[in-house]
Amino acid sequence: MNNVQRLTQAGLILPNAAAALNPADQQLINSLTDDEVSALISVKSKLGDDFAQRNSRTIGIVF
Amino acid sequence: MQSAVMTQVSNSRRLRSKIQLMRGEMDAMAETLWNHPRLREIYPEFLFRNHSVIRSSVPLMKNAAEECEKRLGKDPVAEGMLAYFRHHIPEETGHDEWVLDDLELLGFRRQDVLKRIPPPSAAALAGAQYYWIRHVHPVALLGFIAVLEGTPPDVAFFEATADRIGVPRKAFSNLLLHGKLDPQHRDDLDRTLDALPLTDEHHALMGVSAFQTISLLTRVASEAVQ
Repeated sequence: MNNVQRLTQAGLILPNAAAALNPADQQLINSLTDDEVSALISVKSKLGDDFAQRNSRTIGIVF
Repeated sequence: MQSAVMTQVSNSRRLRSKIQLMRGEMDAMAETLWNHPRLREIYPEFLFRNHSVIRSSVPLMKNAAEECEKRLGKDPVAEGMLAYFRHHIPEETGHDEWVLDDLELLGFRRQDVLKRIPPPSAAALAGAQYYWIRHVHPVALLGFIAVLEGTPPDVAFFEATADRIGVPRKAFSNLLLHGKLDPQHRDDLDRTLDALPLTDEHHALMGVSAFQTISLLTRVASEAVQ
């Protein structure tokens, strides 16, 4: 099972988003180590169905 | 196992691609927060939470620098990281005071803010980094910093936001000053990352740290909105 499948099975990537992943994102997700995938599953961070949307504004908590 | 493609890109690009990949929930929370109909009411609570996090910036870097010093001569990334922290610590010193200044302008006395117990989510966010630094490797902190300094505040947006909610722009000083400084800080970190002889293990730890940071940062902010 690859990382995309693992994260989809864990509910962190919605099935329709997994199907719509572009090759670059697929490659990036599948390049994550087991530890990184486990961390994503541990913190239950959904990648959502729109993570390809690259429009980021700061959440405002700065360093 | 890393794919060959990811080992061919620069260190900074490799980390930032991972952050970009999973920041969707954080970005959605940012939109909710900054467009909230009761933002004027929420903003002081948000600042308190921001202070709870930002007060740990310099102490975390000092901790990481100490760990790097212990590793000098034994760990190939220690020297480069130590130079980065020594340069960055003075740049970040006193920024927690900017948040207190903003709160004071809104009528919240410094001593009252400092007396409040910070939220557990903020303690978890910063506390995790102490764990990674002390028990695993200080390179983890670079994943944390990459998230926090990776999207500099948009100065025009936050000036307009202050005007929109009827709060003096001076009470947004923390965000407005970071909006001016963080593009340079982000680029400095990228240059540092690209010059470090990072292994796949370092990359994985920075990734884990960045993912955890995004998750907890989102929680810290979301609690201000509730």
